[in-house]
Amino acid sequence: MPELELVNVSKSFGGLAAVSDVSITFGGSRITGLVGPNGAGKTTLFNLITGMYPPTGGRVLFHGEDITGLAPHHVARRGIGRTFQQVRVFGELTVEQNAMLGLPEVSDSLSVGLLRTGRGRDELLERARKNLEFVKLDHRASELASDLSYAEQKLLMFACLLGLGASTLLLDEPAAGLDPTSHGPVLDTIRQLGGRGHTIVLVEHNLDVIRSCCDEAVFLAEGRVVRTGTPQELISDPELGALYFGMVEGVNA
Amino acid sequence: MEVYILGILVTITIFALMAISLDLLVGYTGLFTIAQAAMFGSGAYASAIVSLETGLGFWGGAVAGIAVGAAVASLASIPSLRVSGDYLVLASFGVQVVFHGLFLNLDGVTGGPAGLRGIPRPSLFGWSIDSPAEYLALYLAIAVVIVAVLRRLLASSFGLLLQAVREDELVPQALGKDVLRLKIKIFVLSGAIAGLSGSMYAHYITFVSPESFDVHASIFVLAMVLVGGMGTTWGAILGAAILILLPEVLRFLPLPTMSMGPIRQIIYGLILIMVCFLRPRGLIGGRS
Amino acid sequence: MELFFQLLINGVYVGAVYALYGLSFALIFAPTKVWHFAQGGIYVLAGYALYSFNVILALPLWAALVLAIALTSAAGAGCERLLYRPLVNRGVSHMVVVMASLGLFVVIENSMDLVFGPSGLSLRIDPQTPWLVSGVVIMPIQIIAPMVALAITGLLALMLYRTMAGREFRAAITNPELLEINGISVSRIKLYAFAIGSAILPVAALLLISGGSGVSPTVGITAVLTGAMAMFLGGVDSPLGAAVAGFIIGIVENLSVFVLPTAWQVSITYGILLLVIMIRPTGLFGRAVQKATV
Repeated sequence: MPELELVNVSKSFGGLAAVSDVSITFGGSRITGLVGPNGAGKTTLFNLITGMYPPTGGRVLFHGEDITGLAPHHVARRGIGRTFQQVRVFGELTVEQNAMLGLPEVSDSLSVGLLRTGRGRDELLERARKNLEFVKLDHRASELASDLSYAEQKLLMFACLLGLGASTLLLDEPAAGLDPTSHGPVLDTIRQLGGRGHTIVLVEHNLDVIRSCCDEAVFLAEGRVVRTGTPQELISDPELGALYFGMVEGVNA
Repeated sequence: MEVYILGILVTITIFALMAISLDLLVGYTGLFTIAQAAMFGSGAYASAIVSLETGLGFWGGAVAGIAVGAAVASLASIPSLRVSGDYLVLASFGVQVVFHGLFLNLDGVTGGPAGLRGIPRPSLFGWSIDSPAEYLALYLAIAVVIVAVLRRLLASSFGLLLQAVREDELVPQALGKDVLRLKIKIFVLSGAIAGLSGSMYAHYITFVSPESFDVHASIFVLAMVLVGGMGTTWGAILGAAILILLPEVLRFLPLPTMSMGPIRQIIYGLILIMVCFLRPRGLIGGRS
Repeated sequence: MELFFQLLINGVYVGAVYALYGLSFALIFAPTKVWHFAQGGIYVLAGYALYSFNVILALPLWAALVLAIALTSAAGAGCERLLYRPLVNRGVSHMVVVMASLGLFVVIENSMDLVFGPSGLSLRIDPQTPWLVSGVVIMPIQIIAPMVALAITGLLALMLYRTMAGREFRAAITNPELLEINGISVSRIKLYAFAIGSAILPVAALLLISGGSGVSPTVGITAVLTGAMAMFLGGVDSPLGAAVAGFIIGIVENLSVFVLPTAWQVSITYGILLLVIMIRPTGLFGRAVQKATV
């Protein structure tokens, strides 16, 4: 059974069709890349999966269960985590506070909050630290998140995500805004997450990232799936190349 | 003189609690509302009515005040949370005016423009609370308990989530948090505390009328929160103290009594504007 | 049946005034995005300006109106230049700007109370002779008001859609960055928005006062809240929509007297508006504002 499945998903905003009749399956601890020019609908797909807005057609299935149109926090609890295109961390909180936020025990429950013992809190901190260790940010635990570099903040987003315990991870342009020397830690983290058994979907413009991380890739243009295959197959396809670069240079929708 | 000062301290205690309840919304969660007087007033009226109709006195009234304050808050939260952030102010303004209208027009229940009189003073194990000193002891004790519990809550994972939501709503949702439910809970908590302070007010002044609970009162409390420093408990307390103490200076000036009300309000307004310009983070330096 | 028409006439009258409230508030909010709650104070100021010119200085009504418009317009512009602009330049949060506006509202309203006293004052207006039309009492002002409101709204519509300045104004509403890039000063447009928006207020005040209500310091809240609600209903980017919405609010409010005693009118109006907020959080004509943007 595929872990995450899009079935004939469409989305229109006003008269504009952002996504048309897209069907993709993700699963089996694979890392899948979504590529395509700007406006191809990649982030829209993420938003549709995570419930930011409902699709105008089609369904989203997770472990066989129909999660179409579920609210974002429900989707997250079911086991789908995501990061955003822009770096979004809580600058006014410390790094370890940020990491703790992912944990399900940090919730809107008044009683849990009031009654938690010091030991309970230490246990949460411990788990948060482990996630920080994974992204190699534990030495900066007590600093404010706003004091971190851009690249470090991206890693912090991963640490938060880990706290959630999601099996499927949607990463929106993880390498965006990073110079090639900073790519390393981010890509390593993604590969390690894949190694841990997570199913990962990446949206990326940077073809090197796709080539080095992904097991397979899906090429999207104007809201439709154009081709699916290994990164190497897609990159060497001259038609796709023309489509990608042609559209990047021309006027995009 | 001593009695006078003690009386002011009692008033500060009551309003500090109300300011803290508003700060929960405005300072801690980033929900900018001007409906606090509606919840305060509802609590005051509920407490007055319950203690006048039944023999339950202050304690029964306080429970009613808490319950009604919380109920009004959950009602107010519905329109307030449906609109996007900018319009929250407008929705809460509307709620405030609607409730003031209710206080004014529900003659049979609230006594209309004349209000309700003869609200019983509190009594503790048969000991009647009469003097300002006794009021202060009782109300301060209540306030200390509330603040202690609140501080523990805000230092917990609940408080952490609040701080996060104040900065960004999207990410907590993506991390599985029910942000809407969180906000409703904060509204209800804020309303409960405001209702309690309303009850304390009613049983101190022994008289309630609609003009104490209009939009100007809401602005007054908002000013306290801003002046002291948003998002800090001490800020709300300090703000309450300053805004109540400062105009008291007026009492010692030879001014016609009819002008006292407007002059007081003008002072509040000017302080508010000045703080916005000179120290928008408030005296203690909370959020801005 | 006569009651219905009586209420309708009054609704049209009050609706005209509310239309002006909405127009005024929206004209200011649309390009500046400022919640100008101090508008309530400016409105009170407008009333007392009329009183000062008409009664204290004993000027004819039309002269008092012209002067009041000048004064109020200047006061509105003053708010922009002296209060909002400096605050926004300091980078304070929206909350702080609104609080300063509320503070100013309190200061202006209470200053008027201090100077002129809390009771209502009358202007030197000749009493009107009401007409009786098949059992319905109509005051001339009830016919004049909608005509005035229509004229002003029409004039503004012309300005917005037929003049260059109007086009710039509309651009400032939706796309201020584009204007700046083209060298057009958005801050000047904002100033005009405050000036013109505030200039409408003395007219609205006079229309209402002519119907029998006095000049008093407590009318500010209704004016600004109704204006803001009208703007919300009419679509935030549309001053004309706000005018229409204000008109509708006035009619509904008066017709509701059929079902409720007069004292409840205002509460019910806002109650209905809150209900609208719950059902359609984007207003009746508003374009959809997505809560989440990624």
